[in-house]
Amino acid sequence: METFIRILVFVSIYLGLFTMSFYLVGFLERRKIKDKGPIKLPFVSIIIPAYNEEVNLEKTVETALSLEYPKNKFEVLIIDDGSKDGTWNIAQRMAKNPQVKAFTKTNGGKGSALNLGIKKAIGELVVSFDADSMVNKDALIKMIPYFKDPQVMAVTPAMKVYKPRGLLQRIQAIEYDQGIFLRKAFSNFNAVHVTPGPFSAYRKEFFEKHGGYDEHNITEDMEIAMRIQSLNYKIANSMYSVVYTVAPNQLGPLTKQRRRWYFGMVKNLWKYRYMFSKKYGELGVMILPLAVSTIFITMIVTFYYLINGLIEGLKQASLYSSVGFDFISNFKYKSYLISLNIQKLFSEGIILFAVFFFVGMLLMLILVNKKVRSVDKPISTFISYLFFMFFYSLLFTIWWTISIVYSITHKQIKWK
Amino acid sequence: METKLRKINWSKIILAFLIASFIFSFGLLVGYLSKQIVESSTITIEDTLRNEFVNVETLGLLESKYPCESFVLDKASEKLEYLGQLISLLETKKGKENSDVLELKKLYSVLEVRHMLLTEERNSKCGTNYTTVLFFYSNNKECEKSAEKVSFILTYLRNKYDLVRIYSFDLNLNSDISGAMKSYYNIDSCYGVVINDQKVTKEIQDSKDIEYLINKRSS
Repeated sequence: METFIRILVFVSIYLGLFTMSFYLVGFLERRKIKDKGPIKLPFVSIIIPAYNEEVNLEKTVETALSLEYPKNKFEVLIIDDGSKDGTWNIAQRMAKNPQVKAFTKTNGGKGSALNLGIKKAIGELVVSFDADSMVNKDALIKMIPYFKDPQVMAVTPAMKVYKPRGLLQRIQAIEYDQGIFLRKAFSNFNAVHVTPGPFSAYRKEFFEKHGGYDEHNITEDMEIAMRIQSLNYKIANSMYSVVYTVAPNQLGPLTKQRRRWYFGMVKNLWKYRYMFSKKYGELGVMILPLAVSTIFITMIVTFYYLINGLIEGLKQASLYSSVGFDFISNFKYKSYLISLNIQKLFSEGIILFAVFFFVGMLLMLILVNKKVRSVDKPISTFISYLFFMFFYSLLFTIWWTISIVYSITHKQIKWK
Repeated sequence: METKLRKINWSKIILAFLIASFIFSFGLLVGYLSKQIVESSTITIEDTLRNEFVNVETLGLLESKYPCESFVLDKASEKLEYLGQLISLLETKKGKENSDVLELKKLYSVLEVRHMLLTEERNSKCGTNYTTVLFFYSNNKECEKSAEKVSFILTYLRNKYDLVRIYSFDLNLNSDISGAMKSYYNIDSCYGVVINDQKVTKEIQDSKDIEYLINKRSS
């Protein structure tokens, strides 16, 4: 069993290296936006679906209204999805602004709210804007040039966690930063397969021709992206359009969120399983297969080391109980300890690879943070990175395990 | 809108493959070199052990010139511990039955005995209170758990008390010294502990079972 795991670990190391190299090659490629003359700014409809968002709604609408975009060229549509709090009252008050329109409907989920917004929208472009997100003022204007290419049906932003505090938010902050790198790399291969709900822009004609959001899909943002890709259109990424989201800071809500995301991913990958094919270019032969295999290998390896870690932990607990858990007396600094531990470290090949991997990831994060303006200080990012290194793999495995169990047992997950 | 088949950019895939293969190969090479360093450290440890004999002999002479100077013996104790840890590391890497490792352990046992005699001489000549602990252990599968526990307890006591010196002997080692000490102290189970020449007869489950013997000596 140990030999099998060692082989699997080396396979996963190679796969990880290959994946990162592939994405790096994609990321570093410079793509010029096809220049077809000066940009004619289209009319944009910003749709804010809201369910029980009385706390955040006003600020979100004000953020949308303060975007650096000609006032006569965009509108804000608030769609109240049958909220039980004061959301609709706030929406109606905000609709006194001539740029804002408010609509209400019976609760039907985010997809149905967005579809109503699309129906009511008069813009050439529609933007989904989550009520709990914040966006840089220039986010929208920076997305527009990508629509010069008529094949581009959607443009995605760079997502970041807003001022992460605490262990969980910091881990997510690094994950999101990793996502910026990945989404840019994916876009250079035309392989973006999620258009994040917080602030993605679409050509309205796509919905008119191919239908709106799937209202029964728990991750409608992934489903619409996969649909765009399945029809061989393009999804671009505007790395300098920064959107901040508030990440869950407790394990319960975070696990619920991830369960929804990953359950949704399983459903969507199954629905679009025919896209695992060279007909879909790098998306079909590389990115989707790599994503799936990485998930499984990570889970197997993490489970193995977790179980081993637990067994070793129990063994150490038993040993320490024989000395009355006297940790302080048991540790005594000796001059040879450092050189001995360095020798132990460097005699284990897998540890060396782990060191390479984490250094590689750190360099990638530095690259991303240099390019994308952030409100966080570098030291804060570094602290987040340390947490990420130690805990992410375990959390990732737990979330995926739960999602796969839900998928297999056909349990249903609701939006809220 | 007419949708068209996508072309795969194989050059990017090949480039990624080459980068990954280069880094992977480099990693394997570093791992191989590290393994070679560990392998070659066998020779280094053997040389170091042999040098330590000379050191300990010189220590004995230094003791007569500078009687009861603790810095001389303490330095040698730390070096002895370090060599013991290196041999344990080699044992993990090369296996407990490896002939090189067994030869090193035989040499190490002789060094331990010389060091132990020097410590006892210091106690009698200078009135110091070093506690000498002899730990006899077996590497047999059925003895692993109990021997590991006792080893842990003894290491804890060595770290806790400055004047405790632990000397470990592998019962399965085919050496004259281990054999002689084993029969002298009548060790016939998975492990044996002798504190200041007194064999501990009861089963050791906990540090309290033997800590009082150390405290008795220290007081």
